[in-house]
Amino acid sequence: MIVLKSDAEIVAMRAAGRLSADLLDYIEDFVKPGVTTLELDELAHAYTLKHGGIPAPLNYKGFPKSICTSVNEVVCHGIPNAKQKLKDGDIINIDVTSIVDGFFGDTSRMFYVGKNVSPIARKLSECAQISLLRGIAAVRDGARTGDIGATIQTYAESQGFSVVREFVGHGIGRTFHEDPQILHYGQKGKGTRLGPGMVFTIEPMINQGHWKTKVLRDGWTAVTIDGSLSAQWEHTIAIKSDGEVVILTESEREIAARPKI
Amino acid sequence: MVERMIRLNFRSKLIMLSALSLTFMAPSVLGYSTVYDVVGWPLPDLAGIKPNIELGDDPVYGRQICPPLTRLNLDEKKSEDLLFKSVRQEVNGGQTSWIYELRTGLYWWRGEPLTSKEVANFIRNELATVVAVRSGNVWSVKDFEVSATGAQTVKVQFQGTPAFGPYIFNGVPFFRQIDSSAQDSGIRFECVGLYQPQLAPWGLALRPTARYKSHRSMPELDLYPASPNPASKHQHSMVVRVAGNVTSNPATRPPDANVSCSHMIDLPNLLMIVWDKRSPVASRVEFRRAVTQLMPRSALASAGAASLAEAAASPVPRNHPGYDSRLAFQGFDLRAASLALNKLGFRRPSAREPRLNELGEPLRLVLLTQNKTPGLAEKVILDSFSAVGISVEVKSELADGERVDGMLANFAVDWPRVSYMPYFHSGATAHWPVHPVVDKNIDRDLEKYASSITYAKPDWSLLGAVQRHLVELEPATVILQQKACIDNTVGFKLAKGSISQRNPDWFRQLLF
Repeated sequence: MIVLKSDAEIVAMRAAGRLSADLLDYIEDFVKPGVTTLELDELAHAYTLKHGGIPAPLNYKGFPKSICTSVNEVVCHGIPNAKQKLKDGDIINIDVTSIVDGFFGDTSRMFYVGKNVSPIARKLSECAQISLLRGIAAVRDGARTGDIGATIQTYAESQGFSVVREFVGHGIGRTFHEDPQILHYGQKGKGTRLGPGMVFTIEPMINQGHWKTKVLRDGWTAVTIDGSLSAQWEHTIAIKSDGEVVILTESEREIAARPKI
Repeated sequence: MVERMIRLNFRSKLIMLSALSLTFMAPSVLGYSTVYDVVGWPLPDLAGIKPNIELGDDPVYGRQICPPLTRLNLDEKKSEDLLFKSVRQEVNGGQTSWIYELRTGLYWWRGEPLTSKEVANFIRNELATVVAVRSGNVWSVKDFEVSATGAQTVKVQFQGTPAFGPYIFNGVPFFRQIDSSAQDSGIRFECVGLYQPQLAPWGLALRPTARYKSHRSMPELDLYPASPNPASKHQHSMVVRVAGNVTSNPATRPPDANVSCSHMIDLPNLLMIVWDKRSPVASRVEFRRAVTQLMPRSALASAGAASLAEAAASPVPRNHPGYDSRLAFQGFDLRAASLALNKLGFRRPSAREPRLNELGEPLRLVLLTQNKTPGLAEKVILDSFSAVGISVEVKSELADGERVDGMLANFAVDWPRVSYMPYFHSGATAHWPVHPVVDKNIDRDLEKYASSITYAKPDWSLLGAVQRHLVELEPATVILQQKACIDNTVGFKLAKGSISQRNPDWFRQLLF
């Protein structure tokens, strides 16, 4: 069941989205060679609490930390830990969700660690970001979820990459995961019809190699099946009653650095 | 956080965090040269015709304004005579007598000297109430006579032997009722403490009681609640932070205590789920034992309470001399909990489906919470239940006759006694929305221990027995014990280690 939101609720959701976006701006400055993913988690946790939010991932279905940190071949749900030090040349996705006044705001970005990130890793990350922005551009009142997926898949594959199938975007609101599911691949004109009041995430995971993934024994960490790199960007999107499409989780810093799509 | 392609029928409930920040001071209006501010320590309710029974044990103001006749001192591991010089019990010919000898030089707030007749009146009027409250109405008292047998002596005589001893008044604030017009403070009772309270618009002022010799050298104490936030003009101040029920206002959330607090004190407040024996699921001890492994205690302590709490699993706080540290602590272990639930017959067809009860229906619990707005504790606990396929509904209010499986409660332990007799004894009449699980063995141990602490030398091993039974039977799943941070302290004689929950005089020792 899709839970439609009023314009007032969408405005309220912006507070959660804003905090998540600000958190990523904040954490970016700490993403450097030598830092552990646990330290990033602790920083994010403290920042979220300090600014009136609650880290939604913490203990969600048993997830043990407040953010997901997915490095290099990790597709999603990487668990921060003290042993994992970031190295010059790594790429990392940091996925955060804050709860403010009962609403969830879900977003993630890629960050480069140090100055020696390979050209292919940079291209992959940019592809994931542009895929996201193109997917968002496909959102409008009356469109279908398949339009989003097809747009993303067409672009990502045109760049020589693949789109992960096992993990998808989702509706969001007063609960973390709601209907509809947003596939990042598919056919135009197929899927659920989009309309006013819908709020959902788009979060394409783009792999350098095969799209298949596997989940490690910790039950959470998903990695590429072939050990190739993976990248992901994510935003929470809303369609207001007048059909306007708004991104709830974008900061000024991110807007200023948007690539051309 | 991305969702798996496979659809999960998961409904997350919200979370909210807890923590209460406190600060701030306002100018004194009472004219004493030295004023100490205490900010954030919960203020007493002085509106009734008599002080609350908990007042006498409060280290910050209780002992100062309404000292009890006797008290339990955990540092010394014994009952102490405070207003008495001596206490003794005599048994003769089937009759039991308590003989109390009163100290000299004690004065009511308005300066009148305390007499043995007034002590006798107090015992005559209050004994039945004290016995009822301390035992949850399991004990009662009748056929007793109280008389002032001398200027400093009071005798209480019973037909037979009561179930309790002469230190039954441990911690009970000693007072007398007065005509409120006789006192400008508006308080309708009077005590013999070194300080007299004065209600103030910003909180509570404690003035030295004039008749005591030392009053000129004693500072005035101004007590402030957490808010509003007046600016201090005093040189001496102590700010206390406790974990509470904070929502999303960053201005009221304290920083993490582990990195910001110089002096911590344990509070006798436990976060626990009290199970209802009428629940078809929670009435099973194996279920309650499985569930204790679903509590992510450490995560809650750091995230939910800004480290102003500590993981706990025993109903007896760890710093009590009756705490038995040999008891095993069940850690957070979803897998173990899941296996235990499987063993109970609550199977889960697959990781994507809900766990089922014996009837093949989804297993569902209803919990009552004290919080109007569900907090982090509710969210995290719900997520844990959900992780093993149990859905939980949280309610903050119940309709008439409506039942729940358990109650998530911030339980104020009866410190320093830690007597659970009023709550977990089968004969107790505590008015809880849930009916706790009871047991004859627990009844016996509760009574023995409750009796022991009304004598000069309590037997702490009896509390160990209570603890063992409560942990085994788990009528309540204990999750956290709260702490307070005492910081921003200026002017108080504060040294590391000087504050200890076991020491009933820690606050007093900071002053003098």
